[in-house]
Amino acid sequence: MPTQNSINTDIPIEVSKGGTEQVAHTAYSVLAGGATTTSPIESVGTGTSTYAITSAGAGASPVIKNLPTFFELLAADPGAPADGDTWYNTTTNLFKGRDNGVTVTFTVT
Amino acid sequence: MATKNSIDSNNPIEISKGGTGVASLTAYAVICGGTTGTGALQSIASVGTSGQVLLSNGSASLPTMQTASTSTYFQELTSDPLCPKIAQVWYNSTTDLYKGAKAPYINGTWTSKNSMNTARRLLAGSGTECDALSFGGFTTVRVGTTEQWDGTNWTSKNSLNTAVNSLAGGGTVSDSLSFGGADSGGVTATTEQWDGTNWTAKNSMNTARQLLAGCGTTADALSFGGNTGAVSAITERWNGTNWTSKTSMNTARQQFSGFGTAEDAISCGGNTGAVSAVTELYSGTANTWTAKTSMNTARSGNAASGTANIGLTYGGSTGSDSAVTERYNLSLNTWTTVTAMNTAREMLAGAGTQASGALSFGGRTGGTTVSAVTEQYIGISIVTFTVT
Repeated sequence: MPTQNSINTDIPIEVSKGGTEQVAHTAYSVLAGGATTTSPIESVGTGTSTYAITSAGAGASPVIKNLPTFFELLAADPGAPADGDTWYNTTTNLFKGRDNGVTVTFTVT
Repeated sequence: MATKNSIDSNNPIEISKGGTGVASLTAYAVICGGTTGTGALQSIASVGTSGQVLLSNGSASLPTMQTASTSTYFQELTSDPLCPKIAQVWYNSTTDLYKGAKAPYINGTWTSKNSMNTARRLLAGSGTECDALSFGGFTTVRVGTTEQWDGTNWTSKNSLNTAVNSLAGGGTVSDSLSFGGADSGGVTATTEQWDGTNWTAKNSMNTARQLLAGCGTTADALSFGGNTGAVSAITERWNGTNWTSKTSMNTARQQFSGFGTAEDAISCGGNTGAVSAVTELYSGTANTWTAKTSMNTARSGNAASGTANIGLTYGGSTGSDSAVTERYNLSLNTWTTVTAMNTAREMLAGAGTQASGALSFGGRTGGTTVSAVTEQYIGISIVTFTVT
């Protein structure tokens, strides 16, 4: 941990002068650049375990979200799938996978 | 790069003084807030390998770069997703069922959702059924009103710079294009781009038109048809900076709709002097419009969404308000009538990127009443996985 430096200021150093303009940051939170209407550095948050940091587009800070899960979209079954692979065959509209060296179709109702 | 300033310190400036509290950071690593044990700022443990994503490890640990899971687990949800997509799978923790979404497309269902804040007709839309934007239109006057749909509610946003009705648009909820329509000066060629917060004026179309149709993105969009003072077949393509004239449609139409991309677009319905069922396919590569099988129900003032391969059109006027919904399949070149909307409307707008889902909003009912009605269409099969 660094020791105290020689700068004596009660006001956090501005971004325009190379500072952060903040006096604290949220522990473990991902940080992002701020907008003109917010703090110069924004806290994205810590989120829930396994959630992913995701772009919210050009006009917003990224967000941490529970991402949807998809089977891989394939027009035909893969030539050499590995055990545990799963995919969705867009030609047959079947959910499929590989189990113990055998290609299986998931039964749905 | 900033040049050296007059501060002379051998120690990093502390967080409490607006510094970073650290003398160096790991190159390319994501920066997070620190703790009393680590210092005010800290880098994640590893920059990861190409293609990995940053995943949360909860509120008491740093996030880490991890290989994205494509299909090794089912997303856990307490209810089925609002906007399921083909091949999506999930575990419903309330019903304790593994579920998924699959084709073939079914007749589908329209569900009433929370209405827009401002009832409008002759508006435009962009985005998907879960993340949509509505802009412009006519209440009792033309407006530049913009609202954003988050899957549940509409939120008011900054308006278009120019109030305009009978316009067209395309793009996403954070990156949209608005073009043409009618403003206080009459028919306009105005183009504006939405960046998620504000609309900015861009280069105008070559030919001012209202009651036109369009599709595409802010980088590559297509505008077609409308009314210049007369019913028009004019087509123009946007490259992110300018509009360029392209081959006109075979059938001039106004107050109709389009879907797809600037490279592969479908135009459907409209008014040629009478309500029309005409469907045409635009090929950007060939720069041609080709007539396709007409819709089952001729109408004008309809909305549409989807891809050129699979799309939907809904609502409009056949002479009276219509709730009819049809699905277009390009490979079969067929229109199939599916479940109708709950509320018949004309001059409405829509959003959605595939036939599995769409959002309809606004319009007019009964010939006089401006509507804020919002409905969501789900047109794919939700299945349950059998486990033993």
